[in-house]
Amino acid sequence: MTTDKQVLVVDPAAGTLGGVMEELDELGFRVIWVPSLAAALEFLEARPNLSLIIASAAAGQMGGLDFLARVHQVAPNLRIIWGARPDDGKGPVSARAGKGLDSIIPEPFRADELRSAIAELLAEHFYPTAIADAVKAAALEVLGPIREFKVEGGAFLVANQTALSDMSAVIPFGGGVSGHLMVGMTRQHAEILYRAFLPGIRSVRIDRMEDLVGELCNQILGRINAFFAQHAVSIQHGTPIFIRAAGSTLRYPGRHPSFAVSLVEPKDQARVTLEYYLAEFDREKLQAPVASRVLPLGEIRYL
Amino acid sequence: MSWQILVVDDSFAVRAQLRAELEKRGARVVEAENGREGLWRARENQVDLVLVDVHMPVMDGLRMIEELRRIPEYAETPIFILTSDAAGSRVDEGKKVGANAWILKPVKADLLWKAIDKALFGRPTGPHSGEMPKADSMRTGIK
Repeated sequence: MTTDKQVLVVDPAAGTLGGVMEELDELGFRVIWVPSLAAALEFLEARPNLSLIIASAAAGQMGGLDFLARVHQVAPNLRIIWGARPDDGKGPVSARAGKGLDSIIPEPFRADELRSAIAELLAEHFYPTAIADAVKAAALEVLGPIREFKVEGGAFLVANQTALSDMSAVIPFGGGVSGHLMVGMTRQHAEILYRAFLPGIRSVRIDRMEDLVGELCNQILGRINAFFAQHAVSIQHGTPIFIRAAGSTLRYPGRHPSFAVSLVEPKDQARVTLEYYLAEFDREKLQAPVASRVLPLGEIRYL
Repeated sequence: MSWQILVVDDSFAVRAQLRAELEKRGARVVEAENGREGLWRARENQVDLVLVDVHMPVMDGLRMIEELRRIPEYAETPIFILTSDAAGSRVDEGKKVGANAWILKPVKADLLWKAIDKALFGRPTGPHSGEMPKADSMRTGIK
């Protein structure tokens, strides 16, 4: 994707947001620090392709509305996360942030809260809604016939989403776009799915459950790839790689956020997590006319 | 005697699911984990229809079909590709190597059964995108 993965941190005291900067760096962003809102504007006017600004409350919300107005004039899609002191939260900036364009979270920033705010604000930058929807739809198309599932969440920057999985399957793909899909679940949930997939089965071996996880990964990826094929993006994928270890996750050297989705049954009897990683991808390709030569599910094409 | 179907897929779960569905309808099922094993099984057993996945280790499904079509006994046997791959260009490859139908996973058992029924007995099928060529010339598989 063409997003500039740069985040501007505005904080008068360098180091106050050191933990935040480290966290962002871990997530694959290049973090630039400036001491004031004025310096931030100066930087932005020179380089308007930033992804995000994180401004500490200490940077001063005095003049915050003017700052916001100027920022959105220079870079309309740029998101801002404001830090708030405990007694903040009802000022004009908060009111502006409350409109959903930006986010305001209390300081000191907690890693999970910050990650969640970043995920919410930047998801579209990395995984356009169309792709996010395709991933969710693919998962439901494949898992739906086995059990009744619903999508829970759907955010990116969730590096350890599969932390609760005992077994995972990964399928790398390449071609018009590259990346991988990882599907994981606990052993207990894998057994529930296995018994639903093969009713009447007596004993369930771990390698057989693993095999099912791999097949589900394969089928879900196939449905996601069909979405790309509609936009004339051809993708090839291979066979699954199995990981039998709790907390498995994958990182490519380029470090780019993953799109993570959980699918749960209403009574939480089974939970499946998906981690979809897409490397650099030109989103302009999604604007290509929809091709008709993609086989829909539930149709037999006689040759 | 019943007719015999060769199921070639690297996933045990898929093979087991297909076996259960097909046996319920009176078929005998021969299984293989990849294209190479599929060729062995096809030579060992004169099967009446083949269901084959595309993405498999050792030998993929398209290569297996290509090889299978070179065996005179399998020149006209119905071969269905059962895969998660929906791209039109891949479907063209399937046609080139001699497959008769391309079906996407996950497939509903009834839909698959109708296609098998038509291939083996020439009966009308449910929703599909075209007519299977040479349906009348296909081996009935009834022994």
